[in-house]
Amino acid sequence: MRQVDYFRFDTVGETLEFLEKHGETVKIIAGGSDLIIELRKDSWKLENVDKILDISKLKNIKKIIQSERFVEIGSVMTHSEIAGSDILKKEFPALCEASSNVGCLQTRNTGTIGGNVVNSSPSGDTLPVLVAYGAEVSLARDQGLVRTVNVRDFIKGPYKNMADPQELLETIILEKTRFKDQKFVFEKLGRRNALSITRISFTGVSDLVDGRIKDIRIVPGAVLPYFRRITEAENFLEGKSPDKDILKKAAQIVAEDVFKEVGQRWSTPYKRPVLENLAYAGLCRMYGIKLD
Amino acid sequence: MKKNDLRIDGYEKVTGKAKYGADLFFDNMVYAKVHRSEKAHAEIIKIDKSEAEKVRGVLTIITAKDIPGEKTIGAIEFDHYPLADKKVLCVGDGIAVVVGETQAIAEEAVNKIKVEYKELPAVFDVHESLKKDAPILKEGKMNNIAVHYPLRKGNVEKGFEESDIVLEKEYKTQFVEHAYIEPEVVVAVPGEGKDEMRVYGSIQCPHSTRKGVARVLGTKLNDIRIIQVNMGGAFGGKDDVMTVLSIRAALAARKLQRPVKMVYSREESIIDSYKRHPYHLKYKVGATKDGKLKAMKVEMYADAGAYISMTPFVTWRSVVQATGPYEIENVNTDIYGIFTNNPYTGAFRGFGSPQIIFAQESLIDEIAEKLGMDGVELRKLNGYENGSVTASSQKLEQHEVSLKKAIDVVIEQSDYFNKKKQFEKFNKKSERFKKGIGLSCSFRGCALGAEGTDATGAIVSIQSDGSAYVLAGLAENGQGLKTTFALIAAKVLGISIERFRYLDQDTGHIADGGPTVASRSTLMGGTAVKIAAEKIRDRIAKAVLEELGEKDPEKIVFEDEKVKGLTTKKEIGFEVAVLKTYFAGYNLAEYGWYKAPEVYWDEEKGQGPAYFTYVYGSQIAQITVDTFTGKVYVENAYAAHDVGKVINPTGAIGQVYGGVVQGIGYGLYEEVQVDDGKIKNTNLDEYFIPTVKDFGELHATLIESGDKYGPWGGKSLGEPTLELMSAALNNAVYNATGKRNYHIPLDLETIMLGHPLRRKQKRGSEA
Amino acid sequence: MLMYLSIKVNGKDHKLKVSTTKRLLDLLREDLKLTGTKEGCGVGECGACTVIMDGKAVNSCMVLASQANGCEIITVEGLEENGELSRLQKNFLESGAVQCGFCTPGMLMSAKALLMKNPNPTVEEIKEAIAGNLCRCTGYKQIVEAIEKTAKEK
Repeated sequence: MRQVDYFRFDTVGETLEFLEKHGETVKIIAGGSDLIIELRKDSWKLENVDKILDISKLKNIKKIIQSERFVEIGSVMTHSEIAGSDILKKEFPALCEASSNVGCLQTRNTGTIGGNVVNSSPSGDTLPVLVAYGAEVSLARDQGLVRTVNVRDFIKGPYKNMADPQELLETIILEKTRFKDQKFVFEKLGRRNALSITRISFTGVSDLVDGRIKDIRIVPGAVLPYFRRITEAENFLEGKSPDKDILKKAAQIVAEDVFKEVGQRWSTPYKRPVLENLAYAGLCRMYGIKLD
Repeated sequence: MKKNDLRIDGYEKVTGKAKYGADLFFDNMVYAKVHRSEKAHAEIIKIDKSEAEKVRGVLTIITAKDIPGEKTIGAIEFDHYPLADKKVLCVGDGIAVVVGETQAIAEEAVNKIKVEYKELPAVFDVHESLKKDAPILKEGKMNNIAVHYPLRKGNVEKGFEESDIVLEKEYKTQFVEHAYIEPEVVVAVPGEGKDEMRVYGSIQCPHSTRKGVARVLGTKLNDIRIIQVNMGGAFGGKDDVMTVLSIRAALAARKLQRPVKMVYSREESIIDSYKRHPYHLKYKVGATKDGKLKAMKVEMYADAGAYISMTPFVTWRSVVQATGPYEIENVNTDIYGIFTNNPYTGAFRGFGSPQIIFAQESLIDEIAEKLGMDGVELRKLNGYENGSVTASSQKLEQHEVSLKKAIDVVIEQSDYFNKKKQFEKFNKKSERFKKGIGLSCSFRGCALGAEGTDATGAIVSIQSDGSAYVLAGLAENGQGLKTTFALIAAKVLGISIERFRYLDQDTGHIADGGPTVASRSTLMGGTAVKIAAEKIRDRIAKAVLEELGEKDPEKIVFEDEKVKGLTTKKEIGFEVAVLKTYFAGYNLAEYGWYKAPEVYWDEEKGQGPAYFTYVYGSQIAQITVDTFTGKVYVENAYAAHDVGKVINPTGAIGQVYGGVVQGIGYGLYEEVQVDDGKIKNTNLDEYFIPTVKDFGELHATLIESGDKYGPWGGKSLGEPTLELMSAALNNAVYNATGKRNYHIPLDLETIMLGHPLRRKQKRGSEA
Repeated sequence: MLMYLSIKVNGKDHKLKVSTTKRLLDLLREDLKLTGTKEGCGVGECGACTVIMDGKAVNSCMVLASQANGCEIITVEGLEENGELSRLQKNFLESGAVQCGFCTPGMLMSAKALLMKNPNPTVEEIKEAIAGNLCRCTGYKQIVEAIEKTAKEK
């Protein structure tokens, strides 16, 4: 393993100041697993890195706070903490579901939501849910500079995102849905039931008012190089009363829309029908329609 | 649960005190890393060590040139190079060993070795390897056939003519990784005497390893001591590869005269170690309308990879058992072990049986359906019973043939026929999930059989205070052998196993008792322990005869920590009896030796009594298939195995659970993906073994039919538990979905599409 | 680079000088000679290196030693109570939860972390707690039973 310096500051201010000076040669760590895996591979990603900056103990970004309209999740909150948060369970239950589906307990105990976002993997489990809820990330920089970016835009492609080396992902901001009767689903398919990298996932969130679907958001995972809502399917469902035929049709639209973009790949003969099935099953589960 | 069957090595294992290979530290110890081939078949033109040598703290770099003795090893044939000499034959072949003061130094330097190759044509498929224009991989050979075993009985052509229905099917199985949780590790420590070397490590067969190390180091056998430390699992997988590690470390230790530690990372473990043989199997079976199997023709190709390793023994077991536990008059079987430039294949729990059982038990279900019968009915109609004659014309008459009993147990426990009916109803109306249930059964020859010499020894030694030692020539790999052996000695002497300690497994302390393989430990080693304990018991009986007022030693009984006179009802404590024996000057230590009964094999016809006894078992998989995703979930697995006699109930049941779950992995998702000889999934995040969440309930039943052989009739269990699940799963998948599959693993894509789906290795050819 | 850190392991305080990229696993095994914690994969997948850090089960191969500065760690060596096996350890033995024993330390720590937080877990909760601990020998059943038994005894 290569030799690097380790830094940990008590405040976000000092952290940002440090990043401003050394950002290009710093690897930020929270849980630390990504770094260790890259060190193990002697990855090119660490070529210029000679400093580790540990943000896991920064108190200001290790909490969840809510205001009337927003919930702000500190980026170093672990998956376990998110899965167990009462605020999130009430407001953003699909996120809790996704977090509790990450890898295994040990991983959830150290891995953070910020790490998931910054890693920007197509199979990152919290990402489709964040996109569904329209989450924004706040990126801070020295001298009080802060920009907020939609998660949808923040992730540019597999393992690529908009963060500059001098920036710190401080919080993830979620606007409360104000749903009357929130319906949600996070369906994850892996080869195993634990310790599994997501092969395909399906996230759905909506309100249900007088039996009609309202404000639905649909985001598939691990099928596109990034994450986006499937607006065609959403538009189709908006205002309809969910039944099997309608949900099946919506699922077809999801698959069609995704694979129009992806094109034919080696995995398409499997992934296309399965995405459609998973979307259908997910939507049914979301609206309490039993599928044997 | 009885307290007296607690593991004899349990305390140290639950406290972290048990030392495994990686936990050993010696003064002045240095660290070794291996540089391996990236090429599947190439001549080595040049090994450039110069950059690596420049790394500060590098002590030496060893290549084949530094070998004082022979350059090859092998249990059956000497074709395996622990360090590549002039050629590499597969990706992962070791080329150089770099030794540094620290692990980090060795790691840094090993990447700086540059090898110049001249690539040679390589072959990765058994059928390609048999073609006339295929490169010949072994010097002096005419083709790439490592081994061929035929078996001929009756007249298959006539048998097919007499059949009302004939079915031909082909099956394929995959490369599989043992995936013991502890990666390979050894420490080689030079001894004080000239040429003396000790190797400590995770070594499954210490005596086999000793032969290899002595051969390559050019020493006598008694110069080398192999000391087995706690083993973090083996499953057949820590045999040849550990000899290779031991040699590599010992060469370095010999040169430096310092202890050399070699710890494999998981990636190195997967790249360097041998795998389970992938098989291509072609079956043809004929039966009459009323369900009598008339003839079976089997042709099998096993990928041996680059080295012969255990291929002849593995494939021999396949040829003996290929037609399953069914009486068939006419059989014609051929198996070929074929060299390729793939990773080499060798011993793995099951040893040539999981592949054939997958095929043959899937086939039985299919022909049964064609005959309008249930598979169970067909199995009962043709299955072995007392007096049946096997494919190799062995009459099964010396033991209880309990095949049908095992089938009955799992049928009853699983409520097989009712569930079948229920599931049919459920599946008719269900949209997403389909339920299914499937069965398989097997017979299995115990111990080595006609593979080779089958004999082994054990030492039991009672101390003057009544405490005791036990040690056997076979080794503890985690399966609980130490406990079972202590239980056997304890039972003979009427004492509890708490009195026992197990001695260090050291090739210097006990004779070569053959390898710890073939589920032979309880049967062979257990008998040796029993013989040793009985000899001591008889001496104690003699020594206390007078004291207990008896005349006939036969009237002395050993039970409940006491020695008793049967007629006089007098009794003394075991300690007192031992002390009396001790002062009488009798030997309280004994060496037991057990040689298996004679077996033989006619290699030309494939006929003969292959094994001196057999075990029988049956398993059922009850599953739910998610037809939306292709995921198969095992709701219930039922296993019934005849073990002859249970010695260690907790341990035996654990063997069944563990074997069944390995069988689930084998059937559903485990596959080492090899592309052009290179392994793609080199860690446990890509090679999937089952987690605790991947199956439902496990149900195990042990049947005790006894046997004239083995301790109180105790036989084999470890391997049969793994071999049955894949076929049971395949039959259950058919029952659930109505679609038959002919290969494993039954992964997501296979269930959805009917065929596996893999990323094509060549760019531009993506489908 | 080297750094100083203080860490409490099995109730004992240590001040150590370690490399900044050293893993917690290596600190335990090499610096403190607590070799009960095992390495099986090095990528946080097998759970053999599981220890309890500030009350939570973590893979010590995925945590930098420097991140554990100021933390409290429990390893398998810290499970015995007053020189006697704890009930969890005893139940592992009595239930047959141990075969080769290599996954056992990690398995015990995951179980212990669960019972510390949730003294009455359901079977499903037990399975969730040890889902990150691979075992190749036992088929897990007797491990789950041992944990269940320990919870019931309380």
